[in-house]
Amino acid sequence: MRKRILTTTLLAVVATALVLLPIFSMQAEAADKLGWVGPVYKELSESLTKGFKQYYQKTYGKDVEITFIRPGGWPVCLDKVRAWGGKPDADVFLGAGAPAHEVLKQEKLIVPYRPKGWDKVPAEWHGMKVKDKADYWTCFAPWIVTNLYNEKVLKKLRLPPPKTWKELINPIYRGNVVHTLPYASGTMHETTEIILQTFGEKEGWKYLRLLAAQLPRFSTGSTDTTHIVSRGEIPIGVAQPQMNAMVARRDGYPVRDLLPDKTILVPEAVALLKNAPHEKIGKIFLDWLFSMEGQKYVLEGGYFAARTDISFSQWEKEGVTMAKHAKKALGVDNFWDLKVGFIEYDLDLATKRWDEVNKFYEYNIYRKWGELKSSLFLIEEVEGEIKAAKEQNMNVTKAEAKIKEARKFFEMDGNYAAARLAASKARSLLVAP
Amino acid sequence: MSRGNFFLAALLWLVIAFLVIYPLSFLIVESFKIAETNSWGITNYLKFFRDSYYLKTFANTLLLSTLVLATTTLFGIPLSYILARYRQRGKTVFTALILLPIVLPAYAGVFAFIIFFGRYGTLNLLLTDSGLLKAPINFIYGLHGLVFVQSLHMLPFIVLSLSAGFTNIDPSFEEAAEVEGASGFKRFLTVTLPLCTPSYLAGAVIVFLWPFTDWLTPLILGQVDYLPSVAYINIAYHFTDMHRKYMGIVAVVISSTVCIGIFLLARYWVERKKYTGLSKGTTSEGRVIEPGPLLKSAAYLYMCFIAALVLLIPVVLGLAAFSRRWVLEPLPTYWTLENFRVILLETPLLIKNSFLFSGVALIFGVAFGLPAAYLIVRTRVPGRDALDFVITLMLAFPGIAVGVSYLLAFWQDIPLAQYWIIMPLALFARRLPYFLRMAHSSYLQLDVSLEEASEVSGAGKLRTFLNISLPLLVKGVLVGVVMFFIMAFQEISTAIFLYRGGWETLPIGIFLNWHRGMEFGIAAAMAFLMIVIAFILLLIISRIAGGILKAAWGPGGA
Repeated sequence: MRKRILTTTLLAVVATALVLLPIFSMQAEAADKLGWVGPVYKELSESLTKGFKQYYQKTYGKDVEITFIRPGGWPVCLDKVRAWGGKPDADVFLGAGAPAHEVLKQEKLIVPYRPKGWDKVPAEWHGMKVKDKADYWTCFAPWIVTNLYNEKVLKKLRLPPPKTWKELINPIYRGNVVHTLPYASGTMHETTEIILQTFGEKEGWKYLRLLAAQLPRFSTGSTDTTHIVSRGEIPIGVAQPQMNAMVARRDGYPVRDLLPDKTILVPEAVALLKNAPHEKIGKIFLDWLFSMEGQKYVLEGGYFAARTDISFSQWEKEGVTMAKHAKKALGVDNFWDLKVGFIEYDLDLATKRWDEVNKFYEYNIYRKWGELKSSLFLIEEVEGEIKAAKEQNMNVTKAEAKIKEARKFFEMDGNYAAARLAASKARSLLVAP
Repeated sequence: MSRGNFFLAALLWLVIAFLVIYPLSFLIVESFKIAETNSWGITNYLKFFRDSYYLKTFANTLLLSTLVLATTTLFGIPLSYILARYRQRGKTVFTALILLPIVLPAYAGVFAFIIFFGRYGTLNLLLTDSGLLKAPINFIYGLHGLVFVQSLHMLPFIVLSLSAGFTNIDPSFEEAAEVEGASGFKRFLTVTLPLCTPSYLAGAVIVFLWPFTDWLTPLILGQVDYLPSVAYINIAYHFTDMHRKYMGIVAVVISSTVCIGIFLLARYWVERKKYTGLSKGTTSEGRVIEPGPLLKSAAYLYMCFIAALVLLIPVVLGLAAFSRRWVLEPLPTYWTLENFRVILLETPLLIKNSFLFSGVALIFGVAFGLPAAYLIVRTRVPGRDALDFVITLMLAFPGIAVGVSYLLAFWQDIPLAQYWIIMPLALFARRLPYFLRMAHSSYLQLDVSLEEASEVSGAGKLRTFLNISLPLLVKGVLVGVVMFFIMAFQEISTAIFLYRGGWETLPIGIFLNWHRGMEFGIAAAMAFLMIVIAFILLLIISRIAGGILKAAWGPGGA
């Protein structure tokens, strides 16, 4: 008997479910709607939601329902828009730097729109485009590529914070630096590009090889790097959005940003998607986003505001809590007053060789990472031996020449096997010159 | 071969064609595209096999799978034997505890372990601060950590399937062996264990295939050189490099092929032998043994050891949930309820969505899985093997690949993805094998003569199924239901790609908060909440399961 009741119930449930499903899915639309897709952090999306809802209610006397989709980092968000195939489920692409927006533009996934307040955003800064000439995208939250360190752990390890790119490859930091793969993170890619443009290609790849040897492991993405550093697992993180340190500090983590000697700007930008289902409201949002009020909510969401006519001290007086933290983090009253060692960034070159750089890194550094480390460590060992031999007044000229050759193989050619061989030869030359 | 069977098969194929073959065909097609040209060919596959790096990741994944299977089996056999056979107090709680790890998205567990076992985690800090250690020990970053984390995560599958096997064995077989003079251990090795083979393999296949689809755990532990992780990075981060994307898809297709091969092998093995018994055990719980005091305490100790490892996850996440900025301290020093205040504002919706989507998926799953298992095991309908493959294929496809293909298939031409029903449908398709495997293996242990007897007595096919088969299958089916539900509940990698605003589930909430980096406390609070919900659910199910089992097999039942 009980069995029959059980099975009947089961069947009944299935049947009702099947009947009711279509009804559920046809819910009527009431309030005005707006959809965002993009890689911005949850804090910013929440702050903007709060601000824009208030504004909309005040101005139009109506509610606006906002949905925010963030399927992952910005390459994943971009792929989501691609998968929509011209029939997007959002109106605005919120966040990501210029390269992402350039691709969106090339693939005709966004349309031009010039929001009010557009003229308050600079067109260019140290060679980096801050907004698109044809109005496809505009930066609403600029930031600088920085590094990050955990002061508590560095203190425990008795290490000074590395101030420049050069200091970062000092062997004392070995095992205490982490970054991700350039193809797994836009920020890391930009960092790779900074290194290549600062040092020149040959020297740049040499630097990146030496940097890779400093890592105990790679991280999953830029956010993972933030995690690892703020948790203290590895004290120094390379390639971080500047505001991460600001927000982490506000939340009480012993984390500080490291403004490297050479860096670039990343114009976190916004664009209107093509065929946006709620285009009108999307435009209202963009206008608001670049208004003074909208920009305050950007800052409250943990990002720096983009307008040139902003004064953090003024905002602090007006009760914008994050203004204090921003002033402290930047040391100036407006983002654009920042004086940092910017490089003249060649955006066109960077865009053109984007995939190439990633591939080169993958094949020459990442895939050979084990080999890379063992080669370098062997070279360093032999160099130590040569130094010891010198102190004992032995004749080391041949060995020295050989080990220099090994260095060159390693640093310039990335030929790790040849480097090891040369180092071994140098070692044998020490014993039997 | 009745017409009914054909009709049923056609119906099931229709569902499969729509939800599995159609969307996944988009992926297969992509794997043959050649980047930067409009042509097609097998170039991508050739490149894969000529590339020593990809071959290395492939070998790594196989090694990992083998190690995880060996570890879970080694620890799972005694554990499931204890749980299935020994009369012991607190069995329900222990069972529920041991099931816990699968309820959580894998990464939530990994975070707990990093906090505890990390370089500056609780254990290392305690050891170095007390002077026992000079430098921190690397407990988890590397292959050993990966094996540990994945084994703990997959242990429940082995335990569930083995204990279902142990319970389903007719006690008379074992008694016969004992009468013939086989001692406890010999009897266990020669009779009990072999009889469990179908059940064991059902779980073992899932465990073995897991490292082929879990991309996130290796990444979190800083290991990229595994097939699914490489595939994920290539697909998710290809940006404009189409070649990278196609290579990622090729990696997916190849790992699925391997998975199917392994799965076929396991099935061939099971079906070559006959494992069924004519009668079912005399009690609902199967054979129960009253162990001696020494054995009993050893069993307790063992269960406590495993339970302690499992408990680390909720305890650590719980501590993180009630604190903030827990850095470089063995235990947090700053306590707050703030995380819970924040999530109470957003979680009611997330909890509702999680239950709704997994629940509807479960209904689909049962409505589909039972007839499918019946067709595959009991009938000779043509194409039943193919049906089995296609379903099991889903085990091998990484979530992101399923998500991408679903969006390609169901956004434009068939706009199903615009309605929330796509979420349970995707969960259903992705987690289906978990239910089917269990229903399938229970069917294998049920002798066909029982059903034949019913049909001879004049009952129709459906009536026989409802009155004879289903009640006898209940245990296996229930285990399948539990597995399915929790796997659907914790699914993230497909859901994250398909969700629209307002459809967020708990795992998505955890991901979004975790991704912010600093909001770890909130993510931990959500994960903690998920554990509590799941634990209560598991306890309830163990209770109900016991009741149904008694009704089905007890004196007044069937």
